[in-house]
Amino acid sequence: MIKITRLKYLIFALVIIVSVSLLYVYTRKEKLDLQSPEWINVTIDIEKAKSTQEEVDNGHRPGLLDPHQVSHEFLEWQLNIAGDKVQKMRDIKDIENGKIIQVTLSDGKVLQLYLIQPVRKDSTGIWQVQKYRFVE
Amino acid sequence: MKKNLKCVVSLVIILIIFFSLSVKVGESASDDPWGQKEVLNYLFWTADPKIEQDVIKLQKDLRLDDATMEKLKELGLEERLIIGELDHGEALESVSANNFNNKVEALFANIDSETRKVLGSKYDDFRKWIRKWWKDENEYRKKWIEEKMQEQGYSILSDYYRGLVFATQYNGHTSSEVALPDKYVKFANIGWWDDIPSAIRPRYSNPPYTVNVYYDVTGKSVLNVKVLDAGPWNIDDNYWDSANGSNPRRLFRDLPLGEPEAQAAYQQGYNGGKDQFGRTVSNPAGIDLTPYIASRLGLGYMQNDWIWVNFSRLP
Repeated sequence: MIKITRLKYLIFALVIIVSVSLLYVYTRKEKLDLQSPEWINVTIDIEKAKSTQEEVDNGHRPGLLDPHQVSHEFLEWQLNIAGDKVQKMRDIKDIENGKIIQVTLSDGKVLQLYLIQPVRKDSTGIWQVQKYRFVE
Repeated sequence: MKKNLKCVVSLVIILIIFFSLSVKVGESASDDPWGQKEVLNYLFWTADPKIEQDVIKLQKDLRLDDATMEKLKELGLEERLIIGELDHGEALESVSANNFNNKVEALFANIDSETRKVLGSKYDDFRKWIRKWWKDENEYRKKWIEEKMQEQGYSILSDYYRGLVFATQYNGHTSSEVALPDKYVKFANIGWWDDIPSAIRPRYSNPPYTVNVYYDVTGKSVLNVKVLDAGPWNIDDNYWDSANGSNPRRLFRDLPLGEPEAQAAYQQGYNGGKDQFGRTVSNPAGIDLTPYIASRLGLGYMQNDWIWVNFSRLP
């Protein structure tokens, strides 16, 4: 009798764990859905990107090979968010040939940037922000 | 008897292999830069008086007419731009860094083919001339830098307060800035503290970091120019810091103090001629100037040269 009760508890616990896990995976997927209207598109001029890649291939601005530096530059020059306002920056996920980086600002706001390599997809290819959104 | 013959044959084979390898090593990239580095660009687009004399000597030695010289100069400009051709029709293609370097070599082969067409029967003499010039230029430049440093009363082995580095031009975020190959100088100047490791942060805690640049040829200088980008080529090569100093050089610590890795890679094939990302280094730049700063020094559009840089306001 005791054993059956224990088994029931165990099954119940397992069901809960699986449900929570599924819910977590589902909401996370939802959160990173690049089609979500929360994302703001950034126009990438492919000709300009090629020209920038050309500059980098000639040794200039190698920081554009680093997604974190590119994210910083985007915040600084495109969104006018000064560097000292950035509290934390971390990679969230590699997704659809790109990368999502999450940025926590000192005022508590959190935003995500979706970066791609518009010209060449290897360690010598520049990164650019294609979308961004505020999540908190 | 047979045993002796076998020994002799083996010895001969070993010697042949040894000499083949020696020849191959002897003809390394550092002896013949052609097809691996920007040679025509360095020769025709560097505003240095000695190199300008070298161009005149080339014309005289090989008896080249003005039109041929002009075509070689055009190829020099193309050489700088040629690597960008990698992208044409190859957008979104996935290539490894090695493939990238192979393609760069292939594109330099195109320059070689164009040079053959331009020079015709004088091509072989040109290649010989380039090999000799390259050897002489490397030796000359090493001595020249040492002499200039001594003239100014600086020793390369002491604190690197001021040095001669090859400057190229880039498009910056602002018109008045420079790039040096230490990303943390850039981060500190812009305030990206989170990306500077906490162990290193105290050494970069006193921005703004600036340099003074001087150009002997014109006697012009620009003072207090902010470092707002990383590069050329590398981002962790604080070559103005000694390996054992208060802010130790992070990479390429075996290089002499004050010598940028890109310069060593270009001139001596250091690190296999590659930068910290594994890319073939095609010019010896240790500082990048915006076109505005370059023009204030008296350099023309796309012109490069060796300039004095004062590093005293850097970590």
